[in-house]
Amino acid sequence: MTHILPGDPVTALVGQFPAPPAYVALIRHDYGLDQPLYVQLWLYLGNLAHGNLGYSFGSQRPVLALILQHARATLLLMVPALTVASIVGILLGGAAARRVGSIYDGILSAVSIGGYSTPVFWLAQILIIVFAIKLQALPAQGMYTIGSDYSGFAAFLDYLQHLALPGAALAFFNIALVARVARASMFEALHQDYTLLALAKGLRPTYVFWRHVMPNALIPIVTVIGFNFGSALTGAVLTETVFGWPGIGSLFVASIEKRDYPVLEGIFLLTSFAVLAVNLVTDLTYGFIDPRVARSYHGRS
Amino acid sequence: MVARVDWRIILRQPAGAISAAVILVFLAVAAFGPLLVGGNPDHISENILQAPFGAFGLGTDELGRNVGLELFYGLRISLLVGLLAAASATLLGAAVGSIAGYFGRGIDSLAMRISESFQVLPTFILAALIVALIGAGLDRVIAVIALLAWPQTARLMRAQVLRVKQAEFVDAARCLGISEWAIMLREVIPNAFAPVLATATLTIGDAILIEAGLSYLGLSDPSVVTWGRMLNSGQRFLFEAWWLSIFPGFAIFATVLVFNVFGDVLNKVLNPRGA
Repeated sequence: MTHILPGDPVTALVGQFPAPPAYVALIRHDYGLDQPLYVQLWLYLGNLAHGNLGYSFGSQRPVLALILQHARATLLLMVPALTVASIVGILLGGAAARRVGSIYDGILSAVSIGGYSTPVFWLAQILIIVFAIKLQALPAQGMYTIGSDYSGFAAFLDYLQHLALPGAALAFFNIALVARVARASMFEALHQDYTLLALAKGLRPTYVFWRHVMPNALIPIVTVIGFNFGSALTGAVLTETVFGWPGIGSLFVASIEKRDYPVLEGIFLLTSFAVLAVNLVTDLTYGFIDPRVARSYHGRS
Repeated sequence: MVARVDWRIILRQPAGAISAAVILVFLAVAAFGPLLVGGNPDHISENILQAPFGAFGLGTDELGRNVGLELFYGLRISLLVGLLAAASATLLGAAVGSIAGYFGRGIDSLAMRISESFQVLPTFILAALIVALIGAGLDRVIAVIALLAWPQTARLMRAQVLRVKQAEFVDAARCLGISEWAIMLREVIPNAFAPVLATATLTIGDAILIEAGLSYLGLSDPSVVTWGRMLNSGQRFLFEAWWLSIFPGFAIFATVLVFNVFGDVLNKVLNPRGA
């Protein structure tokens, strides 16, 4: 499927200067590009069934190893950013749900619509201009200081410094998203009979909020966080590009430029798999959050 | 179109009126602006990297091109992609959703399985992959965005059709001997379509963002000025020329924002159940 396109990977490999036709033919043969398309597809699918995603045209390395190696950096960016975004989003949304119609609620709604109208790569560039260039406070490129040999805690601090800007850029969009859903679902839970009953019993509002409202409001929130893993991944790809973060996004963009099809297809397959896995985990999490879901499932089987 | 919407309710809200007005201004500027202002956005000059708010309006880029002028032409592309991609996605999604919801059974479950599998794909990565493969013409970018954006509309339309088709006037129409297709087209869809308008408006914003992301990655027609591509080349001059990033990015933000605000108001009015 990756062969209907303009731009020939062999040209990208050999270079733009005239190469002897025999050499081009040799390369074409080595990469199997002289085979009919259906043979290429069959080989690809056969290898896929064995967990073999093929080899990168550019670096000759196995695609799977290449992607897994970059996945570490992507996870080191996404996991902290999404964790912080989820917590901050739930707290902001919860605070707004308790004061619906107030100025704070209005500001939060406005900021959250603004949040997902903002192109993440633009926000990333602004952060670089303000914090890395004007204030010189934080590093703008990479994941570690180049040429440093920090170890242990110093290395961790170095990583945190480099994480600050890309993490903030990536978290912003997700805070907007989580806060919006958290506000809506907590607002609903706040107006249920059980909440009214708990308050009528004379329980303190703060206790009612954490004990009764929050657990009931959590399912839609977890759903949104889980199902938006795909868009968080998009954010990560673009954020990595701006900050030169050595993750899957940087690999993806470099592979687009080199027309490195095996790597591009591999990234698409593995990220689809990751999104599916996260969605499955999200579904399974319901059972933990809400015992009713687990019970209804056992009841059916 | 066919939907019955009371626009006065929407325009009475400040957010609805303001965003609608801004959208109209943007459309007018995109349509007539370049004619009035004149000038060629590709015109290069020796005045490279001039700071904004001086003799050069919003400044110039590394080839001496006028940033303000480029923004003008970029608005055309963003709106064109946003409107066409959202319109195609909405038509496709509404058609699939209506047929799935109205006729049910096999068609329904097939359509829903397909739309579910689209929804779990990492959309932007797939879009970038396809555009990298087939080339970055404007028409192709629009087609790819539309192809990836229809499932949400289809699911909403299906739910709406399922609700409306149980109404009594549908039974009445059937008793009059009107054919099933005619009932779907003339009775069910017009009464089911309104909430889809809100989703369509939000899809315009999404489409503009996706196009900007693709051109930021270099996946755009090199002969066309786009805001994403301006940000891409501005990236190399973050140290010297902040205006190459700030202005195009703000243009994307403002355009997407007005469509999202308007879509949000539409959603509140037309789809009261949805949060």
